[in-house]
Amino acid sequence: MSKAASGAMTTKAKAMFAKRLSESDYINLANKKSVSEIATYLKNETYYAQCLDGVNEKALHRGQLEALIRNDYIAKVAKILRYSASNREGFEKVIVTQSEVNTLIAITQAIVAGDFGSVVTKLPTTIESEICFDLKELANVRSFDELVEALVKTPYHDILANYASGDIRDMDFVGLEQDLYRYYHEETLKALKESIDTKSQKTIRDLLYSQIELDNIAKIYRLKKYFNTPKEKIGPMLSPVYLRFSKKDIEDMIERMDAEHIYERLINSSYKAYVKEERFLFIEHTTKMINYNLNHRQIMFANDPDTVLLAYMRLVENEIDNIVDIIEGVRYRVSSEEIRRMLIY
Amino acid sequence: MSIQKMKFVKTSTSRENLDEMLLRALDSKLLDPISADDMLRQDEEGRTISEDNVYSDYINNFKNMAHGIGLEIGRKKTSENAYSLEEIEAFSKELANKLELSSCGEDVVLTSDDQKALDALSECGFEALHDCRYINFGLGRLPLESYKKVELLRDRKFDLCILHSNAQYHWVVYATSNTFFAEVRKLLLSLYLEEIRIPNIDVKKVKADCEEKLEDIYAFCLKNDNIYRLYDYCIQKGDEYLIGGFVPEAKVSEYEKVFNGLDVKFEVDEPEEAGVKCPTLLKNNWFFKPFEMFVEMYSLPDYKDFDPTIFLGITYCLIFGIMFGDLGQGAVLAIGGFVLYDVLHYKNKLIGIVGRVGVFSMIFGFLYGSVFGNEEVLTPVHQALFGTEGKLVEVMDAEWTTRLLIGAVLIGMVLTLISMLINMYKNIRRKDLGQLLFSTNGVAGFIFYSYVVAVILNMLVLNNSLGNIMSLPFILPLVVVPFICFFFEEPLGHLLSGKNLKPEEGWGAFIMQQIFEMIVVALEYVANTLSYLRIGGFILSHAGLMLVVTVLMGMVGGAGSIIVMIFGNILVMGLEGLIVGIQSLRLEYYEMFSRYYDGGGRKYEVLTSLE
Repeated sequence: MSKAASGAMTTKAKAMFAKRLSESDYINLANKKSVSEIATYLKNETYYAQCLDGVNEKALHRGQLEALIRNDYIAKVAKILRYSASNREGFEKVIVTQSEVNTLIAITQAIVAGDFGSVVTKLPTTIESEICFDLKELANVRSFDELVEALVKTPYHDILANYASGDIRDMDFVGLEQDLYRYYHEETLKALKESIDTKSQKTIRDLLYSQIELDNIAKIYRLKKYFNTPKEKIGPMLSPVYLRFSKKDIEDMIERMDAEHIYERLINSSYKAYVKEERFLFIEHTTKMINYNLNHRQIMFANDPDTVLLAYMRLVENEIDNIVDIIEGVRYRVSSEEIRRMLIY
Repeated sequence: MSIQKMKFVKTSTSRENLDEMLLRALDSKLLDPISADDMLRQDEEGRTISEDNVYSDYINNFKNMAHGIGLEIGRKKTSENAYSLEEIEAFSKELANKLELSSCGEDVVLTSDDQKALDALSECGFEALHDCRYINFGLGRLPLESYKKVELLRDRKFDLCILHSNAQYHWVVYATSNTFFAEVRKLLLSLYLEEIRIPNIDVKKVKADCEEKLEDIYAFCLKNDNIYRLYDYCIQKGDEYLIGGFVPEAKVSEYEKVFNGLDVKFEVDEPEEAGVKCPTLLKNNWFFKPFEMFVEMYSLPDYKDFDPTIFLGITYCLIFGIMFGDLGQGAVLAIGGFVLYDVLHYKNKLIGIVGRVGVFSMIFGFLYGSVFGNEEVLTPVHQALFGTEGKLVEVMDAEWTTRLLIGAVLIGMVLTLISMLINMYKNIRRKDLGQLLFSTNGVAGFIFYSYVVAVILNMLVLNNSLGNIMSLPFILPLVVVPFICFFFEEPLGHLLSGKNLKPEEGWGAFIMQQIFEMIVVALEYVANTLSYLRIGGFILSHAGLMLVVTVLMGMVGGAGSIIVMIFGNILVMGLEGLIVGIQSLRLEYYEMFSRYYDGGGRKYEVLTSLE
């Protein structure tokens, strides 16, 4: 890609990041009393105005608001990709795979809960032409076996088929979820490796590995603290990715440390520089904060378009998570201070 | 040709005639009222009227209800009947019941899109839909994405029909049997269907039934709301209610006649009696009237000051004409402007200005011998009229370039001197001796600048025929003394007005500040004068642009040359006309107004209906 085109994409991504929700936006949103007030604020005061244009915010459903904001994420990335002079299919593939994996997890959850009616609501119709499975088939499945059958010509068939036998109530849902995420991570690395230059690969690999590694640590913490999961069962649940922690460190955590020690080990590790707030809320808050700061650093200082784009994608995802947290908080009447504490920005 | 004289007029009456008096004052469109608070500053015995305005709530209520049924109200200006508050309340409740709204009920917000969907559904008849025993109907907004998902379903237990769509939603009605209604509704709600209740009544029928009465009551409420708002300008003094304001002196008797037949006391005073700033209403003849727009854009003159419109009008026309001299193009502007503004009475004053500057453009175009860019067509006329060999002014001749630029600077000098004279006249009227004598635009400034003009004229035009005027006997009184005046303007002004000689900031700071001030003053004189060079520059650029058009015409030839001429002239008129207009205004505001004009006046704004 020419320097000019690469600069254009980097500049566009950074310029779009500059429009993000500010601290005062978050304060105002957390002070709202209803979903419709949140929607009105987002529509009138923020850069979500375009994606919410024409919606009746007074009657807007929470789920619909979330759906619109998530769709806007895809539009934002597409907008930046327009500035790319070279082929960037890899990034599109990452978004599509992420959406496919999330859809399959949501549909499986609905089937496990026996709520077949809601299967159709989980389908990603906005990117219907890009995804690898037939939505019409998926919309009408009424069992897990039918789901596996509907995925027969897709790479997901083999993953799901491993869990198809036996009673649905005994299905290892955590294992399935784990396998799907592992597939997503592998596909992401593969897709980006194919389409980006080697210079950027290391930084991008570090960003992706950090996220996986942090997810692993959060999982170990949670399994130890809340589920008393036997040590030998924890290892297989993790993605075999090691970046700032060696394989031995992770095994040490599983074998010898309790949850509190794991947290201490995390915040004193080489991730320390990215822990901006030492107050502990819950483990995912800390890992997401580290992840946010890692990506934030990249978008501020990196000039390589692929790194900046990936960082931008992760930061927008974080913003969407923040908005969803606010919506949930407002719905369940959590105080605005509590809501703000949960947000990462 | 001046600022209209005003009178401060007070009218008072009893409580029973108050509303009528206020409405007549409102209808007269002559009164620029002063607020009750300002009146009370003058009259300590009075008090404001504090009555709750119940009509504004009814107005909002009726507006909301009308909006809900897609009715536009407010077309009727006066009501045919009078209504008591009880009657208005009863009608409001009756209408709310008909529309199934209640003040304590759910907040029904129907958009115009909802209304379109309901209109489409009403073809089936709402009552008929409700009368079905075995089939249930539902109505709502379904996001477009959700509709796509519904279409993916096989063996649907419902039928769905789109009534209306926009960029985000389909408005759909669905029908299903009673057995599946709960299940279907749950599914559609999970797809974010925003339900709209199918009304029991036909909105169109309600609309037809109540429209006339609603309009009448709305107009009645509007009138009363206006009266209540006018109470902000009234004070109560004993049993009397009083409203005061400014009326042009020439219109006072007309204003008095407005209250004929009503028991109203009428009192006329000088504007100073009001205790508030008197508004300014400019009065100019038909030619200069449009130029009031430029004065208003800058700032209206204070009531006691003078109106600069005529000087602005003359100088603006002159500068524009000089810069944009073309007989043909000027004629187009003049005809267009006069026809649209003076004949067809288009209200935009800018069009009037275009017509007037067009005349001056024609005059100078004639002197330059330029008609639609053709520089030769008027040569015989010039030869016959002025006895010249060629044209009177050869704009594109190299010899003339220097003459034009020097001429532009001389025009600037003359305009600057006139601006100073106007400033002196203004300060005489204000009796501000300090400003009159010592300021950079007062007598001292005038002497200094006149001397500079004389020196330049002597050097460039008169070939030193005035002798050596740059010697000390001239420099000392005509340069040094004025600069001493500029330097000590503030303390000398204090001295003349009998105040303490010492500057407010102390001598040290004052001298320091004035040293820099003097550098600025000297630079300003130079910069302001050279600013007029643009007049010469635009004469050349206009001629240059038209030369390009003429060359292009020659290159194209035949019928094409006529098209090039037409479009070339349109382009130059549009583009250069706009730039010249802006540059002329810039000279008015920055080089002339800054020397003699302060503004700061308040616009005369008559009381009008507040809705």
